[in-house]
Amino acid sequence: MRRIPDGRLKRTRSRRGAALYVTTMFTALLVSLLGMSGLALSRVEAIRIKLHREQVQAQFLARSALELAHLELNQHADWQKDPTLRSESKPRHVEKGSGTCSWFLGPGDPRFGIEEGRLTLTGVGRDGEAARFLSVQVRPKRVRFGTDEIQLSVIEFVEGTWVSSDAASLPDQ
Amino acid sequence: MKPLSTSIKKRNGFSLLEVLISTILVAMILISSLRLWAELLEKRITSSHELRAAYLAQQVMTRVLSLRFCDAEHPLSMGRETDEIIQDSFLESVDDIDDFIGWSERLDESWTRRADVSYVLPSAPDVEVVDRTSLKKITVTVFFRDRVVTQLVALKGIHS
Repeated sequence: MRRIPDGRLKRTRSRRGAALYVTTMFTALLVSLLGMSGLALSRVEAIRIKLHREQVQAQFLARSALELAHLELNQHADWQKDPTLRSESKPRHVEKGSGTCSWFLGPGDPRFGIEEGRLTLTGVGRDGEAARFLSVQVRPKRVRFGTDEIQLSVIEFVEGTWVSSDAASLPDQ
Repeated sequence: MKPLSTSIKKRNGFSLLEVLISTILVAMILISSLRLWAELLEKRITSSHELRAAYLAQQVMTRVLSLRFCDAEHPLSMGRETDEIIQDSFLESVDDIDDFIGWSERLDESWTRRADVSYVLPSAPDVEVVDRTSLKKITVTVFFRDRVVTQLVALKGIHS
């Protein structure tokens, strides 16, 4: 039988020990990397879901802003000509600590046809990092009085003109 | 003197120290990865709950906002009118938003959704008042095992 020298035996054993160490550390690294990437993914998902909830709330707040604007404009005799209504109103909380709603008037949108006296009313809803706005076309209410048609200062929504969008096209405040 | 073959055989295996160290390392990896998986699972469950809650709240809020500001026959009353018949589906049988005052629905053993309607000041919509105003605030809350998961608020004016 061939005799294996002592030095070679020691070298083989230390190599085996190193291989075991490398394998264990590599497995540890792999498991940690997998776990960390899974955790990062779940964090991204959590942020996405939080943003989704905020967007839903912002959408309802934008709609609420239109309700508020509707009430306020009906109290305003000269709402079509008042320049202060062309800039965004002060954001108001619907609930303490919640998102805000505001609104502003702009020129009528030609995509819905050209009509004198028609304006665009935009409601802005903000919640957390989300902002949504809803636009409707409005005009003074017209009432038939005998054979004549008179124009009231009261606001009237033009049907079928709801336009919704995200914060990308929000005007600068 | 020991035979040569026995001596080589003994030296071929791992030493006790090597086995001990690698066992400790593997145990540490396993424990930390299990903790990580538990955390991941918890986050995933929370996320799916939040998503479901947002959908449930949105469903009720959309229904409430599609209704009239007040009852056509009893415009001054607040709450569900006595002559209104409750059908199998509450969401389908309501006709004005204050029918939702104190409304609550238990979807299963864990999920509950609740709606509330109150008058608010048009100049300060975060202030609830008892007197009638031209603006109502609707609050929809979704609970999972009595814990609030999500809440949505919206306003409805008398003119719409």
